Amino acid sequence: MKKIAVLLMTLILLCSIPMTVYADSVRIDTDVPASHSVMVDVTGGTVKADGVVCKDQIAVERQKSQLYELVPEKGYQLDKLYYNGQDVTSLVKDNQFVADPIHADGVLKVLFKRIAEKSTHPSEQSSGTTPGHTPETKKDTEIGTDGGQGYSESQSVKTGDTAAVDLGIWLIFLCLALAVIISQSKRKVVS
Amino acid sequence: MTRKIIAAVSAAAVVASMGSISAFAVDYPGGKQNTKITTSIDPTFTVSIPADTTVAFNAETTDFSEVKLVSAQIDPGKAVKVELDASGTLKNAEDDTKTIAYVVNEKEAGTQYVSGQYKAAGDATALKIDITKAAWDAAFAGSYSDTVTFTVSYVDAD
Repeated sequence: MKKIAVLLMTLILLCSIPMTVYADSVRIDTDVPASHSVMVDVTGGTVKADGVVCKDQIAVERQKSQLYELVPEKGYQLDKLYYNGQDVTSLVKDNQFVADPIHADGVLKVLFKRIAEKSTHPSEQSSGTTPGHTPETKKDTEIGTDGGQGYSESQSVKTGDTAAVDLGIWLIFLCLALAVIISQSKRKVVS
Repeated sequence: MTRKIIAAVSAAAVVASMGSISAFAVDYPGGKQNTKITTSIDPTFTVSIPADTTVAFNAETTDFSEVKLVSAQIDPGKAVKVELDASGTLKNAEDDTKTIAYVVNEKEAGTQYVSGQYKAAGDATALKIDITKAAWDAAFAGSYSDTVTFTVSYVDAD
Protein backbone atom coordinates (compact mmCIF):
# COMPACT_ATOMS: atom_id res chain seq x y z
CA MET A 1 0.00 0.00 0.00
CA LYS A 2 2.79 2.35 0.92
CA LYS A 3 4.62 1.55 -2.26
CA ILE A 4 1.54 2.39 -4.31
CA ALA A 5 1.16 5.70 -2.50
CA VAL A 6 4.79 6.60 -3.04
CA LEU A 7 4.51 5.66 -6.69
CA LEU A 8 1.46 7.83 -7.16
CA MET A 9 3.11 10.81 -5.48
CA THR A 10 6.15 10.41 -7.67
CA LEU A 11 3.97 10.39 -10.77
CA ILE A 12 2.21 13.58 -9.59
CA LEU A 13 5.52 15.34 -9.07
CA LEU A 14 6.70 14.33 -12.49
CA CYS A 15 3.51 15.58 -14.09
CA SER A 16 3.50 19.04 -12.37
CA ILE A 17 4.65 22.00 -14.42
CA PRO A 18 7.64 23.64 -12.85
CA MET A 19 7.34 27.41 -12.39
CA THR A 20 10.00 29.73 -11.19
CA VAL A 21 8.93 32.38 -8.66
CA TYR A 22 11.00 35.17 -7.26
CA ALA A 23 10.21 37.14 -4.11
CA ASP A 24 11.81 40.08 -2.39
CA SER A 25 10.94 42.00 0.76
CA VAL A 26 10.81 45.75 1.23
CA ARG A 27 10.78 47.60 4.53
CA ILE A 28 8.53 50.58 5.33
CA ASP A 29 9.23 52.55 8.49
CA THR A 30 8.44 55.84 10.25
CA ASP A 31 9.06 57.63 13.54
CA VAL A 32 6.46 59.43 15.66
CA PRO A 33 7.97 62.06 18.01
CA ALA A 34 7.32 62.01 21.76
CA SER A 35 6.70 65.76 22.00
CA HIS A 36 5.81 68.74 19.84
CA SER A 37 6.98 72.33 19.81
CA VAL A 38 4.54 75.21 20.42
CA MET A 39 5.72 78.66 19.41
CA VAL A 40 4.53 81.32 21.85
CA ASP A 41 3.95 84.87 20.64
CA VAL A 42 2.63 87.20 23.37
CA THR A 43 2.20 90.97 23.54
CA GLY A 44 1.43 92.84 26.74
CA GLY A 45 1.87 89.97 29.15
CA THR A 46 3.24 86.49 29.64
CA VAL A 47 2.09 82.91 29.18
CA LYS A 48 2.71 80.16 31.67
CA ALA A 49 2.57 76.41 31.13
CA ASP A 50 2.75 74.13 34.16
CA GLY A 51 3.67 77.20 36.21
CA VAL A 52 6.67 78.04 34.07
CA VAL A 53 6.83 81.21 31.99
CA CYS A 54 6.97 80.39 28.29
CA LYS A 55 9.56 82.34 26.35
CA ASP A 56 9.69 81.70 22.60
CA GLN A 57 8.55 78.09 22.46
CA ILE A 58 7.78 75.16 24.70
CA ALA A 59 7.79 71.39 24.26
CA VAL A 60 4.46 69.70 24.86
CA GLU A 61 4.12 65.97 25.28
CA ARG A 62 2.37 64.37 22.33
CA GLN A 63 -1.40 63.93 22.72
CA LYS A 64 -1.40 66.04 25.88
CA SER A 65 -4.02 68.75 26.50
CA GLN A 66 -1.79 71.57 27.71
CA LEU A 67 -3.15 74.21 30.12
CA TYR A 68 -1.92 77.74 29.44
CA GLU A 69 -2.17 80.58 31.98
CA LEU A 70 -2.48 84.00 30.37
CA VAL A 71 -0.94 86.66 32.63
CA PRO A 72 -1.39 90.28 31.49
CA GLU A 73 0.92 93.09 32.52
CA LYS A 74 -0.39 95.65 34.96
CA GLY A 75 -2.97 97.78 33.25
CA TYR A 76 -3.59 95.22 30.51
CA GLN A 77 -6.29 92.68 29.81
CA LEU A 78 -6.76 89.86 27.33
CA ASP A 79 -7.79 91.01 23.87
CA LYS A 80 -7.36 88.01 21.54
CA LEU A 81 -6.04 84.47 21.70
CA TYR A 82 -5.12 82.47 18.60
CA TYR A 83 -4.15 78.80 18.58
CA ASN A 84 -2.82 77.41 15.31
CA GLY A 85 -4.36 80.35 13.50
CA GLN A 86 -7.82 79.96 14.97
CA ASP A 87 -9.45 82.52 17.24
CA VAL A 88 -10.08 80.70 20.52
CA THR A 89 -10.66 83.78 22.69
CA SER A 90 -14.13 82.54 23.59
CA LEU A 91 -12.63 79.39 25.08
CA VAL A 92 -10.60 81.33 27.66
CA LYS A 93 -11.90 81.06 31.22
CA ASP A 94 -10.35 82.87 34.16
CA ASN A 95 -7.38 83.73 31.92
CA GLN A 96 -6.74 80.04 31.31
CA PHE A 97 -6.86 78.13 28.05
CA VAL A 98 -6.84 74.35 27.63
CA ALA A 99 -5.60 73.25 24.22
CA ASP A 100 -6.82 70.13 22.44
CA PRO A 101 -4.51 67.06 22.54
CA ILE A 102 -1.52 68.00 20.46
CA HIS A 103 -0.55 66.00 17.37
CA ALA A 104 1.83 68.35 15.64
CA ASP A 105 3.86 71.51 16.17
CA GLY A 106 1.68 74.55 16.89
CA VAL A 107 1.55 78.29 17.45
CA LEU A 108 -0.01 80.16 20.39
CA LYS A 109 -0.53 83.90 19.88
CA VAL A 110 -1.77 86.08 22.75
CA LEU A 111 -2.71 89.73 22.45
CA PHE A 112 -3.28 91.83 25.56
CA LYS A 113 -4.70 95.36 25.36
CA ARG A 114 -4.43 98.32 27.69
CA ILE A 115 -7.39 98.74 29.96
CA ALA A 116 -9.24 101.98 29.02
CA GLU A 117 -8.60 104.75 31.66
CA LYS A 118 -11.41 106.94 33.03
CA SER A 119 -10.92 110.58 31.92
CA THR A 120 -10.23 113.21 34.70
CA HIS A 121 -10.35 116.40 32.48
CA PRO A 122 -12.48 119.08 34.17
CA SER A 123 -14.23 120.11 30.96
CA GLU A 124 -15.69 116.74 30.70
CA GLN A 125 -17.13 116.83 34.19
CA SER A 126 -20.82 117.46 34.27
CA SER A 127 -21.89 120.49 36.30
CA GLY A 128 -25.19 120.54 38.10
CA THR A 129 -27.08 122.89 40.37
CA THR A 130 -28.41 122.41 43.80
CA PRO A 131 -31.78 123.66 44.85
CA GLY A 132 -31.69 127.20 45.98
CA HIS A 133 -28.64 128.21 44.02
CA THR A 134 -28.72 130.33 40.92
CA PRO A 135 -26.71 128.60 38.22
CA GLU A 136 -23.69 130.49 37.09
CA THR A 137 -23.60 131.85 33.61
CA LYS A 138 -20.95 130.08 31.65
CA LYS A 139 -18.92 132.31 29.42
CA ASP A 140 -15.71 131.07 27.92
CA THR A 141 -12.97 133.63 27.64
CA GLU A 142 -9.59 132.73 26.28
CA ILE A 143 -6.97 134.11 28.54
CA GLY A 144 -4.30 131.48 28.08
CA THR A 145 -1.45 131.32 25.61
CA ASP A 146 -0.73 127.59 25.63
CA GLY A 147 -2.36 126.35 22.51
CA GLY A 148 -5.57 128.10 23.10
CA GLN A 149 -6.58 126.14 26.12
CA GLY A 150 -9.07 128.30 27.82
CA TYR A 151 -10.64 128.52 31.18
CA SER A 152 -14.30 129.17 31.50
CA GLU A 153 -15.59 131.66 34.00
CA SER A 154 -17.38 128.75 35.60
CA GLN A 155 -14.00 127.50 36.79
CA SER A 156 -13.05 128.79 40.21
CA VAL A 157 -9.86 130.79 40.30
CA LYS A 158 -8.00 130.79 43.53
CA THR A 159 -5.59 133.29 44.90
CA GLY A 160 -2.12 132.49 43.76
CA ASP A 161 -3.19 130.90 40.54
CA THR A 162 -1.17 132.07 37.59
CA ALA A 163 -2.44 132.58 34.14
CA ALA A 164 -0.72 133.48 30.91
CA VAL A 165 -1.71 136.87 29.51
CA ASP A 166 -2.07 137.48 25.85
CA LEU A 167 0.48 139.79 24.21
CA GLY A 168 -2.29 141.80 22.67
CA ILE A 169 -3.63 142.68 26.07
CA TRP A 170 -0.21 143.91 27.06
CA LEU A 171 -0.07 146.19 24.01
CA ILE A 172 -3.46 147.60 24.81
CA PHE A 173 -2.41 148.39 28.33
CA LEU A 174 0.80 149.96 27.07
CA CYS A 175 -1.05 152.16 24.64
CA LEU A 176 -3.45 153.27 27.34
CA ALA A 177 -0.58 154.04 29.64
CA LEU A 178 1.18 156.10 26.96
CA ALA A 179 -2.04 157.95 26.23
CA VAL A 180 -2.44 158.87 29.88
CA ILE A 181 1.16 159.98 30.14
CA ILE A 182 0.91 162.09 27.02
CA SER A 183 -2.33 163.72 28.13
CA GLN A 184 -0.84 164.49 31.53
CA SER A 185 2.20 166.09 29.95
CA LYS A 186 0.04 168.23 27.65
CA ARG A 187 -1.93 169.53 30.60
CA LYS A 188 1.26 170.61 32.31
CA VAL A 189 2.40 172.45 29.22
CA VAL A 190 -0.94 174.24 28.88
CA SER A 191 -0.95 175.17 32.48
CA MET B 1 44.24 -19.53 -14.70
CA THR B 2 40.82 -19.77 -16.22
CA ARG B 3 39.61 -16.86 -14.19
CA LYS B 4 42.49 -14.75 -15.36
CA ILE B 5 41.72 -15.48 -18.92
CA ILE B 6 38.07 -14.57 -18.46
CA ALA B 7 38.98 -11.33 -16.72
CA ALA B 8 41.37 -10.40 -19.49
CA VAL B 9 38.82 -11.08 -22.18
CA SER B 10 36.17 -8.99 -20.31
CA ALA B 11 38.56 -6.09 -19.99
CA ALA B 12 39.39 -6.26 -23.64
CA ALA B 13 35.71 -6.24 -24.49
CA VAL B 14 35.12 -3.11 -22.42
CA VAL B 15 38.01 -1.32 -24.07
CA ALA B 16 36.80 -2.31 -27.48
CA SER B 17 33.28 -0.99 -26.73
CA MET B 18 34.66 2.39 -25.71
CA GLY B 19 36.25 2.84 -29.06
CA SER B 20 33.09 2.07 -30.98
CA ILE B 21 31.60 4.67 -33.34
CA SER B 22 27.94 4.96 -34.06
CA ALA B 23 26.88 5.30 -37.62
CA PHE B 24 23.49 5.81 -39.14
CA ALA B 25 22.60 5.21 -42.74
CA VAL B 26 19.89 7.33 -44.41
CA ASP B 27 18.24 6.51 -47.66
CA TYR B 28 18.38 9.60 -49.97
CA PRO B 29 15.82 9.31 -52.77
CA GLY B 30 17.06 12.41 -54.59
CA GLY B 31 15.44 15.86 -55.24
CA LYS B 32 14.82 18.64 -52.72
CA GLN B 33 14.69 17.84 -49.07
CA ASN B 34 13.69 20.19 -46.26
CA THR B 35 15.54 20.24 -43.04
CA LYS B 36 13.92 21.74 -40.06
CA ILE B 37 16.07 23.86 -37.82
CA THR B 38 14.71 24.54 -34.38
CA THR B 39 15.85 26.45 -31.41
CA SER B 40 14.31 27.63 -28.19
CA ILE B 41 14.87 30.75 -26.11
CA ASP B 42 14.10 30.60 -22.46
CA PRO B 43 12.01 33.56 -21.29
CA THR B 44 13.97 36.19 -19.44
CA PHE B 45 12.83 39.34 -17.73
CA THR B 46 13.96 41.90 -15.21
CA VAL B 47 11.59 43.52 -12.77
CA SER B 48 12.37 46.45 -10.52
CA ILE B 49 10.48 46.94 -7.26
CA PRO B 50 10.48 49.76 -4.69
CA ALA B 51 13.33 50.09 -2.24
CA ASP B 52 13.09 50.37 1.54
CA THR B 53 11.15 53.56 2.29
CA THR B 54 10.87 55.88 5.28
CA VAL B 55 7.58 57.70 5.68
CA ALA B 56 7.89 61.21 7.11
CA PHE B 57 5.91 61.93 10.25
CA ASN B 58 2.36 63.18 9.49
CA ALA B 59 2.80 62.58 5.76
CA GLU B 60 -0.54 61.46 4.38
CA THR B 61 0.96 60.44 1.01
CA THR B 62 4.47 59.17 0.42
CA ASP B 63 6.03 58.23 -2.90
CA PHE B 64 6.75 54.49 -3.10
CA SER B 65 8.60 54.37 -6.42
CA GLU B 66 7.18 51.84 -8.93
CA VAL B 67 6.95 48.26 -10.08
CA LYS B 68 8.47 48.11 -13.54
CA LEU B 69 9.25 45.48 -16.15
CA VAL B 70 12.67 46.77 -17.03
CA SER B 71 13.46 44.22 -19.73
CA ALA B 72 11.49 41.29 -21.10
CA GLN B 73 11.86 38.42 -23.53
CA ILE B 74 8.73 36.45 -22.97
CA ASP B 75 6.53 34.12 -24.93
CA PRO B 76 3.43 35.37 -26.70
CA GLY B 77 0.43 35.05 -24.47
CA LYS B 78 2.57 35.19 -21.40
CA ALA B 79 3.07 37.93 -18.84
CA VAL B 80 5.12 38.73 -15.79
CA LYS B 81 2.94 38.95 -12.72
CA VAL B 82 3.95 40.90 -9.64
CA GLU B 83 1.99 40.43 -6.43
CA LEU B 84 2.24 42.52 -3.28
CA ASP B 85 1.74 41.04 0.14
CA ALA B 86 1.33 43.80 2.76
CA SER B 87 -0.18 43.58 6.23
CA GLY B 88 -1.42 47.16 6.11
CA THR B 89 -0.15 48.07 9.57
CA LEU B 90 3.10 49.58 10.76
CA LYS B 91 3.95 48.11 14.12
CA ASN B 92 5.58 49.87 17.05
CA ALA B 93 9.04 48.51 17.75
CA GLU B 94 8.46 48.55 21.51
CA ASP B 95 4.83 47.45 21.60
CA ASP B 96 3.39 45.69 18.57
CA THR B 97 -0.14 46.32 19.79
CA LYS B 98 0.39 49.95 18.82
CA THR B 99 0.04 50.26 15.09
CA ILE B 100 -0.44 52.76 12.28
CA ALA B 101 -2.64 51.69 9.40
CA TYR B 102 -1.36 52.25 5.86
CA VAL B 103 -2.32 51.33 2.30
CA VAL B 104 -0.13 50.88 -0.77
CA ASN B 105 -2.07 52.47 -3.61
CA GLU B 106 -1.50 52.97 -7.31
CA LYS B 107 -0.62 56.59 -7.94
CA GLU B 108 -2.71 57.05 -11.06
CA ALA B 109 -5.72 54.89 -10.31
CA GLY B 110 -5.75 55.64 -6.59
CA THR B 111 -6.82 52.08 -5.86
CA GLN B 112 -5.01 49.62 -3.66
CA TYR B 113 -2.18 47.74 -5.37
CA VAL B 114 -2.51 43.99 -4.96
CA SER B 115 -0.98 42.69 -8.18
CA GLY B 116 -0.16 43.66 -11.73
CA GLN B 117 0.66 41.98 -15.04
CA TYR B 118 3.37 43.30 -17.31
CA LYS B 119 3.89 42.15 -20.90
CA ALA B 120 6.39 44.49 -22.45
CA ALA B 121 9.55 46.17 -21.30
CA GLY B 122 8.73 49.54 -19.82
CA ASP B 123 5.35 48.57 -18.42
CA ALA B 124 5.16 50.00 -14.91
CA THR B 125 2.86 50.91 -12.05
CA ALA B 126 3.72 53.91 -9.87
CA LEU B 127 2.95 53.38 -6.19
CA LYS B 128 2.38 55.46 -3.07
CA ILE B 129 1.89 54.84 0.64
CA ASP B 130 -1.20 56.48 2.14
CA ILE B 131 -1.78 57.07 5.85
CA THR B 132 -4.83 59.04 6.98
CA LYS B 133 -4.63 62.07 9.27
CA ALA B 134 -6.77 60.24 11.81
CA ALA B 135 -4.29 57.40 11.88
CA TRP B 136 -1.42 59.82 12.47
CA ASP B 137 -3.30 61.67 15.23
CA ALA B 138 -4.01 58.42 17.04
CA ALA B 139 -0.44 57.16 16.76
CA PHE B 140 1.62 56.88 19.92
CA ALA B 141 5.19 58.05 19.98
CA GLY B 142 7.84 55.59 18.82
CA SER B 143 9.38 53.82 15.84
CA TYR B 144 7.14 51.85 13.50
CA SER B 145 7.88 49.48 10.63
CA ASP B 146 6.49 46.76 8.40
CA THR B 147 7.88 44.46 5.72
CA VAL B 148 6.02 43.94 2.45
CA THR B 149 6.82 41.21 -0.08
CA PHE B 150 6.79 41.47 -3.85
CA THR B 151 6.43 38.12 -5.61
CA VAL B 152 7.26 37.86 -9.31
CA SER B 153 6.03 34.99 -11.47
CA TYR B 154 5.67 34.05 -15.14
CA VAL B 155 2.04 33.40 -15.99
CA ASP B 156 -0.44 33.20 -18.81
CA ALA B 157 -1.58 36.70 -19.70
CA ASP B 158 -5.11 37.70 -18.81
